[in-house]
Amino acid sequence: MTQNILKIENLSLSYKDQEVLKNINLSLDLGERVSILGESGSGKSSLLRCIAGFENINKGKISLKNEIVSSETFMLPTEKRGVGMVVQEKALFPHLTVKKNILFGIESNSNKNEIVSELAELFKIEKLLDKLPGQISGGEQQRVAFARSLAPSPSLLMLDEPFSALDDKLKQELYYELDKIFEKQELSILLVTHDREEAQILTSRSLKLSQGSLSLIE
Amino acid sequence: MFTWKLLPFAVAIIFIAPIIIVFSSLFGTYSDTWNHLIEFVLVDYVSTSIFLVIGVSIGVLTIGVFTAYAVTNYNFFGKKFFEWALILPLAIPPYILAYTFTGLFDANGDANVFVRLLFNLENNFVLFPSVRNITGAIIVFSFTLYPYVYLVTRSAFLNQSSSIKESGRLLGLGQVGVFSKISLPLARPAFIAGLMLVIMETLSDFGAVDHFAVQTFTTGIFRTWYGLYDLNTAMQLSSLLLMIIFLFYFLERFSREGVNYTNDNSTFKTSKEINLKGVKSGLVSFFCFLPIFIGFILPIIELIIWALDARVTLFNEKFIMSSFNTITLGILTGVLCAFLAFVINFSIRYTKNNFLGKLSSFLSIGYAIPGLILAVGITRFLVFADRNIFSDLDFVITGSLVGLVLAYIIKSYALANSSIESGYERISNSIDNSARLLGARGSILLGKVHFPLMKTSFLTAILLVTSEVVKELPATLILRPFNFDTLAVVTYTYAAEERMYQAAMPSLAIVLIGIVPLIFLSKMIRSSRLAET
Repeated sequence: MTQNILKIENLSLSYKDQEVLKNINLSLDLGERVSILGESGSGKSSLLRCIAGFENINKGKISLKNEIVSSETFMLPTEKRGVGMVVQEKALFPHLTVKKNILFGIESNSNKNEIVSELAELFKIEKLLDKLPGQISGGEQQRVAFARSLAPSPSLLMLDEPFSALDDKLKQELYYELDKIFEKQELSILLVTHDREEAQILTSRSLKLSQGSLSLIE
Repeated sequence: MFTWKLLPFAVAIIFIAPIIIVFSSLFGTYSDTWNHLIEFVLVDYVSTSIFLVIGVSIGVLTIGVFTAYAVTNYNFFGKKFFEWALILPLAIPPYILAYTFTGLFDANGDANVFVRLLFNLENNFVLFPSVRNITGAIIVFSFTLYPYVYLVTRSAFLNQSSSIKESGRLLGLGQVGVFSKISLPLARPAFIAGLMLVIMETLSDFGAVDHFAVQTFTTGIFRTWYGLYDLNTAMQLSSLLLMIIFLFYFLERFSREGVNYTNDNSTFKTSKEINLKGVKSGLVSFFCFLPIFIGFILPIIELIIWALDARVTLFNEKFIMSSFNTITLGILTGVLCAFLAFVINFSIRYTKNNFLGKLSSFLSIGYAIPGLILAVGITRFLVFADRNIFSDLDFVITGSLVGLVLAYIIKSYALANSSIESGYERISNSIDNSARLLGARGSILLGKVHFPLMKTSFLTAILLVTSEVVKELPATLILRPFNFDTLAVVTYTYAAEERMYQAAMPSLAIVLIGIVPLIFLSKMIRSSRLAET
């Protein structure tokens, strides 16, 4: 039986008087890759922020590995949810080297150096380990952001338009490399994008979020 | 074109001359006073200054960094008020806080008397310990100078994208971890720059340490000159202090360069404030209120009580004359500084000479020089000029207002320059090009095109400089003409004689004038927050 990684039931979210997400239901199993397509402002990023624990939800519940992490009355802190996230702006810590960025979430792990070496090899960033984020290119920064997010072995990796700041050539290169890595590591992925091609390459199931409501794309 | 290029050089020579004169003393003879200094006081000067700097650094960092983090990341009771009110202590010069502190916390000070009356205690009961010591000085400097750290650190925290902090949370950090491992290290260059300014101010101060009888380098220089009548040794001591201050000046510059390693603006995301409720909100509000209370409200209340209690005519001739002198000098210096900064910035823009730009920012070094040391250098400079240039006249500029105004200009040029510089940044180069195509060059371009566009910056520069001049004590004390009083000098003289009631009115006047630039600053703080939302 496949393990359920994410389950969202009847989720609603409002900012002040505006309803951003309406009655969302979604389920994701181990190793499954799902994309959510939608226009800007459709609530895609808000959905990921709810899963990560950055937003208090108004209705419904979110479970990770069958444990409720968000409901109307309960909110598990972000740092205890065990999820990873890569965002468009990369959000690397500018004061730390690439190596220290990757080590950040696994400081207490006894195999931390092996994990860093493995990820550095996987993402082809071995030569960048001693550099600061400001000293490397945008594409390289995004590779580091992926490596950093995967280091703590998250149960779910969420991707919030991670490729939109990259040029087409770089995007294509990364799509195929990541596809292989995701496959190999049997990762559960929730990708948010407005790019259909990206969704097709990286995920097996696509959903559409429009005006806060989720629907299946045929 | 040649004249415009020459002007900044001429100004630089006048600015640098007093500093060079001070440093030149190191290559002269060393008098017997040095034996006395080394044997009895030099170790005290050095150790007290170091202890003072360490204590003040801990104080300003604790207050400045935590309040800045609280107002940028949390929503709590009174947060909008605290955001701008935390800069109010900047209006109180350390020496005025020192005077009110002694009035409050001496054995028979108002605070101890109040406690005795409240609990019906004996007349010799003392609850609050004396502040006339280095601990008192540390408290005074911490509560008047922390806004330097608060301002730059707040700005650094505001510039931290929420996505960076959220990444920290996703990687396992709690709120404390995000503060200590992400926000604080990222803001380090900013608060170090603020700290360097605080250290320079602390080492430069004369009024507060003199009042508390704390032996630092500045009091040492003053005593060597006025007590031992040895100007040369005072200059040599000044050189040592100046070298230390320049070290902090360059560290500050270096730290500021690092401030930009924060974010790529195109992907910046504003942080969402965390709502605090109940006890947490109350505690944070209390922590933010405390520095405003100690650094601003308490001294103001004490000064008002003194002023109301004074059994002398408040608006006496001395007060009116010193106010007139202060405001006249302030405005005169303000206009001269603004004009100088305006012309120099025009020269840089007009000649498109990068070296002149560097020279202009070098001229801003004056703010780092203690007023006392400037006074030492300028006195020697004026004596030299009187002997060699105006030798036919009998010491016409030594002891005149020339030295005083020169000291003020050197010390305040940085303030005027920052205002004029930012004003010029708003004028597009295409305006210059159009004007030049229509035949406007040099002074015509300056007077008919730039000046009307720069009026607000010009006025701001005058205001900033005026409020700084009003507070300046040591340079005024030494360089003022005989019988010429300013508000700062009158305050100092009364306080030195422990006539606090009489010192109240001039002190209040200084604070009142000092608030003017803070109104501009608080408007900027509020608009920076509005711009985000």
